[in-house]
Amino acid sequence: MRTLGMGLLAAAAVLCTTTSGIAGELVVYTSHGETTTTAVLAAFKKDHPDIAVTIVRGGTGEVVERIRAEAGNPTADVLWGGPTQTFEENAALFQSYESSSDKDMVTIDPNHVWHPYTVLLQPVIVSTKRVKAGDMPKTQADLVSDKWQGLGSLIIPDPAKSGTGYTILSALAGQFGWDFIGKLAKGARLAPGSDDAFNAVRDGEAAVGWINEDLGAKWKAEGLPIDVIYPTDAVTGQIDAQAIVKGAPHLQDAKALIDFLGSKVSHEVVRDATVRRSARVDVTPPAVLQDIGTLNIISPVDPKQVVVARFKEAAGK
Amino acid sequence: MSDVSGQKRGLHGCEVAIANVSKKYGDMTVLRDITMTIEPGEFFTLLGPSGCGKTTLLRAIAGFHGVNGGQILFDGQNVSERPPWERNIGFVFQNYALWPNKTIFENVAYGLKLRKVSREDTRTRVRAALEQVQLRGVEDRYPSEMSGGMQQRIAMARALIIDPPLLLLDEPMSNLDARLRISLRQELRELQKRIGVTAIYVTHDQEEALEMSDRIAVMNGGVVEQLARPEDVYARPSTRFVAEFVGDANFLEGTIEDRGFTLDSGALIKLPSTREPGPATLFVRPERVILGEAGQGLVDGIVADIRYVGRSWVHRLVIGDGVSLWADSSSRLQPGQSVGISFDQPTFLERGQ
Amino acid sequence: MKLTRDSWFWFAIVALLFCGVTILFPQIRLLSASVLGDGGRFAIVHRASGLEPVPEMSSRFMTQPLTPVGQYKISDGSAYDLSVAAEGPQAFAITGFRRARIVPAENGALQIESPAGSLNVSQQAPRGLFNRVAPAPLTADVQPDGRVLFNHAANAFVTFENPSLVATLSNYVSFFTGSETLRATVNSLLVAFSATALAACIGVSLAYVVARFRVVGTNSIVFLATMASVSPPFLGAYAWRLLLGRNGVVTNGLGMDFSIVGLHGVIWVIAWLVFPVIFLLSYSAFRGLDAAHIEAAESLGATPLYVRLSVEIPLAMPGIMTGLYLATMAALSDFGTPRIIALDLNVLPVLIYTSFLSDAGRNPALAATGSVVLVVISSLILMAQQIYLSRRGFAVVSSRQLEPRQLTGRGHALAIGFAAVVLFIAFVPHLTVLVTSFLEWRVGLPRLVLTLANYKTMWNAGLNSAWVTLSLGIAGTLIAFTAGLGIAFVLVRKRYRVLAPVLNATVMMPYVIPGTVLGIGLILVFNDAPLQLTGTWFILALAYVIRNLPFTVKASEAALRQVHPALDEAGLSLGARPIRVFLTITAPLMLAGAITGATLTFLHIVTELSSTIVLYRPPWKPMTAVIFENTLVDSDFGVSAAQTILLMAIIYVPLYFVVRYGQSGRKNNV
Repeated sequence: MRTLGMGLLAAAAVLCTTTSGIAGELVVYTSHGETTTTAVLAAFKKDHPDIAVTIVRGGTGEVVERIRAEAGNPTADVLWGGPTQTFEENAALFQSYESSSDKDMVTIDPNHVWHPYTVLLQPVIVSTKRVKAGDMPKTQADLVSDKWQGLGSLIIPDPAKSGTGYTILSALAGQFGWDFIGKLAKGARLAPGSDDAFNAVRDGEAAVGWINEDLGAKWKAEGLPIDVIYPTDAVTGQIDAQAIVKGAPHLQDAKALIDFLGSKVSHEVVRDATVRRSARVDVTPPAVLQDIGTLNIISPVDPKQVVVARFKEAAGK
Repeated sequence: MSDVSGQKRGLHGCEVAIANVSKKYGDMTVLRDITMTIEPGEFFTLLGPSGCGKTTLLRAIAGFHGVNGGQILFDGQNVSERPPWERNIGFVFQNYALWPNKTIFENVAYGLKLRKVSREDTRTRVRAALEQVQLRGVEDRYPSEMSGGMQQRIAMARALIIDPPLLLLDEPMSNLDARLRISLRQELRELQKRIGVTAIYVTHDQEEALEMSDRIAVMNGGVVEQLARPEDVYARPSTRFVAEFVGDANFLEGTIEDRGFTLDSGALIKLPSTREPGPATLFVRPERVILGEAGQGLVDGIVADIRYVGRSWVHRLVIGDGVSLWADSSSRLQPGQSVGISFDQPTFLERGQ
Repeated sequence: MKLTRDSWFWFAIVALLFCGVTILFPQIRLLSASVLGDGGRFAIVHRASGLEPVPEMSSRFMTQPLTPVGQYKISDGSAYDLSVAAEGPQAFAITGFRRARIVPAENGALQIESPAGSLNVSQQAPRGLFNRVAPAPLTADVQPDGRVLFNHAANAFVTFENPSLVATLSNYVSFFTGSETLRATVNSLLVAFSATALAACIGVSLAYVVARFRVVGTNSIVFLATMASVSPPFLGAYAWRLLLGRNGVVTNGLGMDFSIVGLHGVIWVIAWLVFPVIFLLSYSAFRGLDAAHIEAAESLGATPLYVRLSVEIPLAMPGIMTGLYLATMAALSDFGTPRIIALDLNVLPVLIYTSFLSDAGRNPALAATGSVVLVVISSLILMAQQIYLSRRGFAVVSSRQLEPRQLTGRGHALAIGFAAVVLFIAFVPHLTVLVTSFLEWRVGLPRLVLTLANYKTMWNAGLNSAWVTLSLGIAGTLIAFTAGLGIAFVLVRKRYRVLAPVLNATVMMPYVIPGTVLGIGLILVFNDAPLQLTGTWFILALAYVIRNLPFTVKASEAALRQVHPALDEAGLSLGARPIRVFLTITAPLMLAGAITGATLTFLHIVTELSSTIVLYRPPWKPMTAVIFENTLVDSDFGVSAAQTILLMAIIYVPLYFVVRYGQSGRKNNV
């Protein structure tokens, strides 16, 4: 009995020490899905085989909040993903770094805190299982209608938890006003995260919603029962970015990652693996996406707190 | 010290002195100012009904709980503050407390293992200890495979193997059947005499106490009512409680006068007495009530009912106006028969004791 | 023997201190956080059209328009009485600060110090998608006439925040009047009680059938139920959605217009998750019934049905009620299932978690309030159970085992069929995950192509999380087991007048604290010096030990009560010191019973999710966290399925051996 106990204790001690060896890795908090991260990190590993990367995944809101909770004693090194507004609103959580690739982007942060990654538009997604071909919405204004309710409703990602949700609602509110949002919200459903919202339309649980264009294109190519429509009156968009966390434990490795993420190589990998528009001026966008010149792109206006509160109010919740 | 033969150890038992010991549980006083001295090598019994404090006293001597007042001394040394594992005593429990997951050998050897006795010495001593209690070849069995009597012997062996100067026994026979009890009594007594260990024995069975003890302390409600040799306790009880507890008893309430003893009911017993005239209780054991011809005894009575208890017939006699008296007789009389009643060595006790 | 010489006394003191700091203290911190509110804030936005107050970003401050239009009066009714007016397209001035001083703060923010206190000032400005120019910074200058002039970016939102804390009950008021929080509470209660009721119907009836009738394969049924009771929590959620969601395999295959997504789905999934606990406890309660009680009723003329309802079930109530309580608690604190099954269903544990994260760094008021409410609810449920049980006596005088009754051929077939259906449904999630782990996944749906790719990916990604889970499981179990043994000994044998009841109450507290709340409490206490444990392996181990102490203590207590004190005293009288007696005599006799507590602990730790999610930080990420996160964010469940199978192997292999050992091992009766 005693020997068994000793044996178990020894085993536990061994396990502790072996697992402590992991503490030397670069920790990246991300809201990107596995398709994006696997492809990019594989390329990163080729360039920097000595840096091991651990991923913590969650919705934009959640990972930012994790970083905020860790503020005195951070574990995260890099936040990868999230609209630029998120980085600006939470500038206190990140540190500035002048990466060599910053100047090659379509836009720039003068403070060099966030580094652009992709330009992401959110066209409308429709479930062909629930909605007949003749009934498809063509504009944002079309989304305001009672007819979606019987077919599973419009589904809106919660702006409190989802960066994408915040982008869409803030941009639409800035363009069409908060009354418009109120009308949209009537009878609509709320999803706790953007992935939940996307999946709901894909699965036919909801009738219409918005989707990140890369995912929409991929699903359409796979033959899933959906349709992707770029509204003619306005399309919301965000610049997806990454930044180094203030007080990052592995600063050198973090800088290496940021440099890599901004490089042409990484952007071409991303474009091909994930069908996204690169933020670099010298990378051509994926052929399958609608030309950006033909669209009226709107971006967020009000800050997150206002959007969250006004949306709650507008939805009458 | 390690005399392996086990037969004549020549072990000297210790003297146990209890000095003004008292114990309370909350508001309840369980032991009141108990004082007694137990001689080395003596077989001393604490006798009394449940709740009288005898087990409490025994456990206090063992050290399983403390006392609120007074001292306990072994051979003159105050052990009141010592924990049980430092008192070097042997304790035999009512339900033997043999460890069910250890073999008989491991049970008995526990005390030796503690004292770092070598493997071969332990083997030899365990075998000797078990032989001492008339058991052989059971070392590798488990307690659940043994009968009650055997378990009791093993418990004894376990307690004695560490050569304690004091052996404490808490009603060890109460879970055995009557026949076994009687035969084990003698064995136990002889073993104790051979070894010479001081033994303090707790029981509520007065037969056991009378048969085995050198001296008996009769306890009731936390006090010692009488401390004496068995024959004195039986024949000359100092209080009514002792008289009733230690055997069957007849009590007749009445008044001592010049002409004899007048019962409260009015009947007169022609019994001279050296005591002062006044109220008293006449105490006499049934076996000391002699039945003869009517008119030929100290008082006359009528046989009311008769019970057969194997050894004798127990007759209930009625004297005068409804006072009952029990008498043992080897022959059976007739109900309704008139008899003359005499007493052999009657005693007078204080009224109301 | 003096108390201070008693080594057990010192052990009890140490145990009490440890439990006090790790269990009691965090809950007190939570309670105090729930009655603190912040000093308030106000915000104004300066658009082209002029200055506007922003009520959504203001609290405790009142804004009133003044004449002329464009000016506002802002005050919090105590320290501040200000008025603000625009002074240019990107400037405004505030009057009312007496002797203000401007102090620059981090990241372009400012602090205004005045006799009234200190205010943090910051700005947020939108900047168009492709703008390359930085917004104008926020500056403030005190003018000669006492006004403070602010210059800011175009269309900026400027926020003034009072960081001081005040004691208040406003958190509770807004909790019970806020629709979101109220709805979360109602949903939680609804889910908990409905799921328990459904599970009770299944569990109690199956338990009765199997316990009171001779049914072939009873041992296997009980073993399978035990296996089902230790599944990873959200496993069922994802599997059921995969099968019965609107796009699910079964719904699509049968062309049904139905979806399991929604409140009804949550109730269904949780019911099947918790029914094994009710089954197991009811089963042992029915098995433990005294034959004499039933025979007495029968001799008085009661039919079997009447006896069943009036004698058997009431007498088995303690076991059944314990099962119901555990089930309700599990349903109440379930974090993973609602997240996965029902998109927009808000329940308390999820609410607490998300609001804690969003308030971290400030005052976790909403999270703390929600935590207190949740703990109060579970305590009330526990009290109800205790009151019900205490008023009736359940002690059995003599216990003669009940003989199971024979069934007719038809009855037997029905019984077996019932058990088979129940167990099949209970294992649907496991089977689904097993199958899908071998299927190829693309864009979130499985294809009917068998492959080992998922397992290969899992293997290549490294099995770090498995090591983390195992090390925590083993270490946590060992610690909880030994602590449980010692504490049980103190509670049963050493009846210290004050120390024992206090220790008992403290050790049992985690019983009513949901995992999320426990995790948050630990973070609040251990986030700073003197003991900064957050983010380490240790805080996870600590949380797991605390959560399982009630089980190990109770199991050891029950085992210890079977050991007569005379067995200890025999050792003492032979000269062994108390600790030695404990190690060589008492503990070996308690082992069999205490082992059940230890086994349960290992299984709980390895499948724990709600505290893990709150407390973990890389690299210490247990398997449950990995699987859960991937299930939420990622659409390809293949790798998660493979990981779940690995986790199930970690659970079921030791479980099998322990059950075998328990059935065949030496039985020693005292």
